[in-house]
Amino acid sequence: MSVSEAYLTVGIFVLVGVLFPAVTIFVASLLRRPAKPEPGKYLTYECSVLPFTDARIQHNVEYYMYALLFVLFDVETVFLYPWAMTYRSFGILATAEVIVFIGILALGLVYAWKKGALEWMKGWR
Amino acid sequence: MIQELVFLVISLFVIAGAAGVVFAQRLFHAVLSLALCLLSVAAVYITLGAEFLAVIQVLVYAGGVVVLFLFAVMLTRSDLQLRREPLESFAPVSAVLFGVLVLFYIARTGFVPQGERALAPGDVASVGQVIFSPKAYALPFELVGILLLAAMVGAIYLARRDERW
Repeated sequence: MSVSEAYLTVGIFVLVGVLFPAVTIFVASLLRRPAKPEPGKYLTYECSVLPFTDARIQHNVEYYMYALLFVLFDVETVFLYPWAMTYRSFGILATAEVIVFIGILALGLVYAWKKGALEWMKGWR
Repeated sequence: MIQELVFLVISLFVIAGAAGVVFAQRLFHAVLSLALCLLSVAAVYITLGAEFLAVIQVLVYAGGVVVLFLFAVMLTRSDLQLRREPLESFAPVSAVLFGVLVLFYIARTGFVPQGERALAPGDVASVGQVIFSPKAYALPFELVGILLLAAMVGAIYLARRDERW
């Protein structure tokens, strides 16, 4: 069985995953109450304090720091995945190689920690 | 026959995603279209038997890079997130030039679909066998680690908030 045939299951899974919400929303739209639009109904909290700004605020830079670190550790995972598939056939040498690799990247995490990049909201702006 | 059909369906998703990136009025929707485009490209890699490439595509591009783009959009002011002009005036010119370039190279190389068998095995286990075979790529592998470390330190330094560091 070739690689692409093995992924037929994944394809079916994706298809079901896409169809399930689509069908659910469609069926729900058949069953819903009659539509009578009114501006008050479109407020974020219909029966509460009136919103005074747009919901789309400018987010803090902390989110971006986490995203940056996530991408870098993501790339690390790319190298760990083939190792995890083959470590049985190579034994201690490849394992040592990977431990050194993780150690080098752990230095980056230590640096981020030391510099306070992982701290959240140093004082409200 | 069935391979061509699968390829055509996946290509439709790639093109739909790419068109969404270009034509979406909100930047957030453009990034989500980019995710669709990148995931569909991963599916193309699967049909070519390049499993490892597809894994990288999903993990790094559809996962990490799209998250990075989304957070960058969230950092911008909300009034900048609406696109006022759908296309720059010189965009059609560059599109035509790029199309001519691609067609030129396809004509030059004699574009023939190679199919799955023409490629080396690209599943994750075979790639691991190559990378981690004794004394093969041990040094380059650790150098990649140091490169990632440098990227991490640089990213933290550039994205820092105040000047005290």
